Amino acid sequence: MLYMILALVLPLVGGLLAFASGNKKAPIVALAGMVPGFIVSVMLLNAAFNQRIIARWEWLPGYELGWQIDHISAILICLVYFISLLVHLFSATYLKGDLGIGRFYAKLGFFTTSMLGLLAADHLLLLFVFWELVGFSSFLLIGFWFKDQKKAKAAREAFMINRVADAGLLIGVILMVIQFDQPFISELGGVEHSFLLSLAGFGLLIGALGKSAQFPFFGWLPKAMAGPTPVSALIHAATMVAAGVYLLIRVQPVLTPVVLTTTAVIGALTAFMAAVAAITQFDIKKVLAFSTISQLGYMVMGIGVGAAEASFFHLWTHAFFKAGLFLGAGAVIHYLHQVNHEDHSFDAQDMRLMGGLKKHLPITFIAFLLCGLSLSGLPLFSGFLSKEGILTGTWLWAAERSTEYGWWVYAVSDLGFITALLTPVYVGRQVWMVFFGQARTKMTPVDQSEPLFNFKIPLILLSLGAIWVFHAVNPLDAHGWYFGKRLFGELETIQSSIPTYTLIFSIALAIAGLAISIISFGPKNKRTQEANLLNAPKSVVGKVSFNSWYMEQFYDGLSSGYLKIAGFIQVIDKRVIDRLVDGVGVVTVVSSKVLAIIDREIIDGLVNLVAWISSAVGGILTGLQSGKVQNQLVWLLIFLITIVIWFQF
Amino acid sequence: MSAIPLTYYLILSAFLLCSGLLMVLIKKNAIFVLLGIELMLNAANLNLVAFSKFNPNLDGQIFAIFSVVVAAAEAAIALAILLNIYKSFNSSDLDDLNTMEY
Amino acid sequence: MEIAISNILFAFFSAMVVLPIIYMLITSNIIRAAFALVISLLGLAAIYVLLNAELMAVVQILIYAGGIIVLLLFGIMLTRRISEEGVTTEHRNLLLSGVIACLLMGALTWFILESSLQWTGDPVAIDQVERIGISFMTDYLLGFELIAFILLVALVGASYLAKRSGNI
Repeated sequence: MLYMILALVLPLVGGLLAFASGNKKAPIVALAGMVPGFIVSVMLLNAAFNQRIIARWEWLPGYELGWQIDHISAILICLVYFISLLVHLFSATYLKGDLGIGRFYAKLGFFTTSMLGLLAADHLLLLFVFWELVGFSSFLLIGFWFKDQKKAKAAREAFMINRVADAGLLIGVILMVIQFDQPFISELGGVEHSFLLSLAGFGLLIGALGKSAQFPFFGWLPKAMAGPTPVSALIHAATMVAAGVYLLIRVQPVLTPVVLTTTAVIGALTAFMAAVAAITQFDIKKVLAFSTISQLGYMVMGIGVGAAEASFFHLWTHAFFKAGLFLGAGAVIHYLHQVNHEDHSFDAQDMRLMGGLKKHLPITFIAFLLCGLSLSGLPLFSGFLSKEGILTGTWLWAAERSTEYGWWVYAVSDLGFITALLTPVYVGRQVWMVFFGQARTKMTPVDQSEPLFNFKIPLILLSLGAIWVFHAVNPLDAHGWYFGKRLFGELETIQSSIPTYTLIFSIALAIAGLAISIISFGPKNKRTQEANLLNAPKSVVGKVSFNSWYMEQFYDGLSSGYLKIAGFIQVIDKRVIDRLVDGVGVVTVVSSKVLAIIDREIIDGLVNLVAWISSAVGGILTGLQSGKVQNQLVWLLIFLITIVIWFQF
Repeated sequence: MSAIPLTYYLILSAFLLCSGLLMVLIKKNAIFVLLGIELMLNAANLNLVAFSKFNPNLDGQIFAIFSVVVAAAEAAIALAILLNIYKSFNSSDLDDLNTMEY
Repeated sequence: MEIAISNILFAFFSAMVVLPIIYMLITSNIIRAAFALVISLLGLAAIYVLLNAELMAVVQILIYAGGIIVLLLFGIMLTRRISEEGVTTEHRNLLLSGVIACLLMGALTWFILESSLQWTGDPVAIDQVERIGISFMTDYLLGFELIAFILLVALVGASYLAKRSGNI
């Protein structure tokens, strides 16, 4: 109990003290909060493995709130602490000299505390509160350089997309608490399946999809790359985006089959779409962002097919190697900034301007390579183990369900395998473009390009985490995780040849993917040599990929025929709106004057149209599209009144 | 004195609320929106005071006074924000503040 | 006879509240609207007197009709150049918002009438101000301190936000 309070509060205290102690001492003070916090979290892990820690108190008469730390949350708390600690270390150098570094540490501490609170919360309402806090603190961190208009805007957009999805979560939480009387996460289950339960499940699912950047919400994660790179490593690779997966693992007992199937399909679709999008990006961080989305898609798919333990394992291994990749990218960006200090128009994140960096950043290169191989799922690395488990689970699920649902369930597992082929392609492309070949811009040796303590230690620790021995003894056994049995109990042995096939397939696919990446992006290839002259791809497939399936444009929706999709949606919008207004009966008045007013309303509030299609599609766009607060308020009230009337009569 | 039924006061308060809401929704100027919000707060106050008329603890009036203070703080902050917005956008029309729009 | 008088008073003051508000909704001149709000708030203060809440009435006049309105007028004058024809504003979304407001009004009225709430018990005694003061210093001490603190913070924050340099 004491451990829990300490573990939850220490990062925030450290951050606030760091803020108060001024820019120079901030990193040291913040670390003084984090290091004991990490130690406490290890003790907490030990305590939670012995006995679940539960704390409840009466909030209102007859109404309890509660905290709970069991194996799953204890292990994740440890993970968050570990990565957060390394990120604290790394940022001390990365942001050296930035005027806002004290503020940065305060925000970082705030984020860590809210994330820990999210993991420790037992009551769904508490979970929701911390969920929002996590979203808000991530908004603060993304917008850390808020004086840059573009970055501030990116932060706002990322936040708004999250808010839309959070509305879904709120619906789910309210339904669970009020309708089913199941407010405690640790006691979920035993509810009879019904339409309302599916609805609550979909609400929770939408919330998780938003936080984990799944289709159709994944546009926010690439935008979130506007934040400092260490932040991307912490929030957008290891912790916050994993919150959605964590929530799904937790609420799995109450998800109905239809919700689970939807989860699996969306996860597979996202994994595939994001992997395709990652192949053509030029921004070093955006490649990583899309690969994160793709890997999260795997986890979500794993939960959908009932392989939650494999998903959780993947969450664990992914946190290490993806944080390693992001910190590696951070080291690269930092180096390029140092080298090209005087050139202000220089874009230090553009891979077209890199190349040949392995000479200058040897440790970063090795760490990046190890983590990248782990991400591409080569045997002997941690990523292989966990991905293997998910793919096996998906195939088994597809084989089981194909009789019931029809052939299309195989599409889910096939998308998983195609993604497994695509992953090494973009990882390879990135490694080739950044570290091999000729330098395509000025590269000079700099003292301290990789400071020992602050850069090398995090990179080395995280790349060690990419190797299999730290997770399981047998490099080919997907279920051999050290913690696996403690968390999920003994698994039943599978009487099928599918695991063996999966094993062979995924090794073959990973090697094939690497081969493709060497052939098409290797240093000998002409295209790579002239990479700095490259423009955005011209072909249809390339365009779709480069613009990440036009997701951002899809959000933007309004643009004036600049995109065909946007125009198409607009046409649908008008139809839908017209019909809706008809249905409501507002248009029934005949006089042309009234029609003219409605016309003006429609044209004036094009935003409304998009808001409507969004509610038709699934409430994607409402918060984003409209800059006009009052229009949004109008629709909000319409829904409110509808709900009140619905419940009253 | 108690001849006027409670419901009359409540309906008056409902009218205040709805007109405040309408003002928030239809006026383009941010100051009008603030006026509307003040009206809505007043509606709440009227309800509280009306309900507390026969309450020996006077809880309702105390809450109403609290809410008046909060309203004063809210008005001060909102106007300060409005001044800043006016400085950077040179307008206090809500339509001009739509930086989220494309 | 007394009943009739209080009914007449209530009707008069309600009209004093309602009519300026309707004017506010129609007009597009902000300054006129602000002064209409003053009248309406004064009417509301009179309604509070009818409700035996004298302290509340005084507070209403002091803070709303005095403080907040002055603040609003300052806001109007600082954000509008009076010399220009800038003190007017436009309407939007009239139809939908009107429907919403009417619906809400109808629903609320229906609920209120349906619930047929009644006053019970006897009116509160006359020494209200004293008793409110006592409860502020006893039962509600924490809230009282907190609200004072919030007001202070809000005012300091407001003056900081509004300072001329505008460089936050």
